[in-house]
Amino acid sequence: MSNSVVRIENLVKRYKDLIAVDHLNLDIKEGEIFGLLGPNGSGKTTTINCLLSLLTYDKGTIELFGEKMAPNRYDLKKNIGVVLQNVAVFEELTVYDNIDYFCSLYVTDKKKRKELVNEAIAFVGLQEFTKFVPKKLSGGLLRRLNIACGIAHKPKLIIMDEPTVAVDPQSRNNILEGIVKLNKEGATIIYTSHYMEEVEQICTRIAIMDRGKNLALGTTEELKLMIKTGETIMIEAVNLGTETIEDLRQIKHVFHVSYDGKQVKIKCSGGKHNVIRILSYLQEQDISFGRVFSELPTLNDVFLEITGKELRD
Amino acid sequence: MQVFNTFFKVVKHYVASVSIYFIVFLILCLLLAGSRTKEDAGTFSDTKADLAIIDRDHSSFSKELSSYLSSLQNIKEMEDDTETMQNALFLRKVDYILIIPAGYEDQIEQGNFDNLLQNVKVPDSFSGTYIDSQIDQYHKTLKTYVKAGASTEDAVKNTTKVLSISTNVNLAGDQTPSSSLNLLYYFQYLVYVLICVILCSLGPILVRFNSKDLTARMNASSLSLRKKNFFLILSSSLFSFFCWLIFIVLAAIIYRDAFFGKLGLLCTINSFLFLVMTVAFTFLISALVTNADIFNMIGNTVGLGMSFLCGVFVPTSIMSANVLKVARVLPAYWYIDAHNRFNTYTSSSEGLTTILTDFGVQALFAVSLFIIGLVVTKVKRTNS
Repeated sequence: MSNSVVRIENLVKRYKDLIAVDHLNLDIKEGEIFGLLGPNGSGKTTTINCLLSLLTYDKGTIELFGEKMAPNRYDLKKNIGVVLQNVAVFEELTVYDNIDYFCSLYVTDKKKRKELVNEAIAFVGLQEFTKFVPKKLSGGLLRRLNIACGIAHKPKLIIMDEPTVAVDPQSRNNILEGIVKLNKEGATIIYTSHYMEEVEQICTRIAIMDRGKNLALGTTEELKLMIKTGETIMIEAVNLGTETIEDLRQIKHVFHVSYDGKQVKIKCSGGKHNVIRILSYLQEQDISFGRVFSELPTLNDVFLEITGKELRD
Repeated sequence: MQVFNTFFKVVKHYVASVSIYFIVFLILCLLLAGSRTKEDAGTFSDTKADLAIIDRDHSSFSKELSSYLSSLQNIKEMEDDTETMQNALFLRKVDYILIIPAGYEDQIEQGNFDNLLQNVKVPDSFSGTYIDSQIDQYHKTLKTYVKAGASTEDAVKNTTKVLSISTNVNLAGDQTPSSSLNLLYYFQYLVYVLICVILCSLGPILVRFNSKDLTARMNASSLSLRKKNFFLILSSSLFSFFCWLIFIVLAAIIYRDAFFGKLGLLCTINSFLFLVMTVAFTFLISALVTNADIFNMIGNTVGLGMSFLCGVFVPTSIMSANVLKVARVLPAYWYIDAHNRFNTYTSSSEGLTTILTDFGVQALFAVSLFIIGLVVTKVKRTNS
């Protein structure tokens, strides 16, 4: 985990007045599953397109494997696999022919390619569908084909731009397991998504993006430590008075209380035994309550605190 | 090479629609060429009307007049009966009924040339006026001879002799045997057919390769843009060449008498150059347009527009100078310009320089369009 596979310095990309990527800096190390997390329009795909030289950019430098990336750096592109957000396959070709075609853009040796294509088909579990044309495949299978087309040539760096959009939960899990497997086989992976659970589940490091800026960078734990919220406690209770709410606010570690008439939501800034302390107070005051939930902070909380808005907005 | 192989795998998928386009436009080309051949065979003949002559004089003079008119019009037999005559005219069995009254010969011998004949005709008809003028001409000529002192018998003979002299009519620039004309018409309409067939069949295939997502994936790969474009142009050219070859082989079979000669060779070279231009144009449009349906629209618009402006459907000789000025910026104009000179060149070896210039301009169009297409793909690579 020492060599830089991708180094982005001060990257700026403008679309007229709109700044899509705003002085972005990233350093992705070999062997990482690096997550780019952000809402739609946060600049993730633009960053990826600049990285692949599919887009020109206004300022900054991009280095891949220690060398400057450019549209004609085919030697660098040889080591990259791309799984784009939209399924990019030939509707006229079969599953096998599609994977074979995209693999052939990197591997010219026919015999070697045949092995690689078969491995990719087995990897994504499309053995039974090799002679199917894409329109005969379900959404999940189509996504798997899209992935197979991007990874068949066994690249050192795999860039996956929201590969699980519009995929059912079962297929999504299969895809995520596959990504971890690819990483274990030695590939560095850049994974963009606006699904925080996915990113939290598989990424070793995460950059949170919004409005083209890198707002926070670190492991899941590091990111959670960056925010005030340590625990969120929710208690079902009716007829709580303003006095009670005010008292709850005074309890140790509590920094935010909200109540909607049915459930009280209490945010605590770390510390232990927060639930016991709050429930003891309610019992002392003879306040009846229903179910009690306690949640550790999520990436959504991280995003909410950093940007002031929900990740899913 | 994989781009090349994949191109033909995609072609296989479109083979049905390509075949339909091909067959439809091939039939259209043959029909257009066939219809022009019947109308404009390159010969001239007088118009003839249906004429019935009722001769009540039965004299040698009336027979001479009947004989003269029968050489000019289609003579129809008719009874000397008013009802029959009216019915024949009403039903348009005849265009004109000429009645030569008894005493016709006597009137002429007495030097009286006014109101000699009676007629029944379709009012204000072209054929009625036409026959009237011929009869008038006959009597005026006869009167001239009589007034000049000739005997009436000699005057009739001389009139018949003089009026039998006809003028040879040659259509300007069209002294071609009909087999060559058929071939020329075929290749004239081939412009329209080639544009439509190539744009509508090759276009959607190229659009697939240039679709946004596939292009992004290919541009992100280690396949160089130069290689991709080279194999795309190569496969497109080969595909188009086969389409063109079918049209040429058909021309060779259908018009074999005229095809295997100088004229056939010139037509083949001309159409080949136009084909290369069409492939280049399709390549350029495919780099700009991402919707296959738009290709059909462009194919039909460009095909019809160029054909009308450049003299495929309407001869350039009757077009205004302004239209021709506009047409000069279109490659089809140079195709037709060369095409129109083949006839003269094959018969008199004149105009080779102009023909070669026309070929050169078409080649220049092709090269320019290919270059623009390549530039567009390069610019679009980093601005998708």
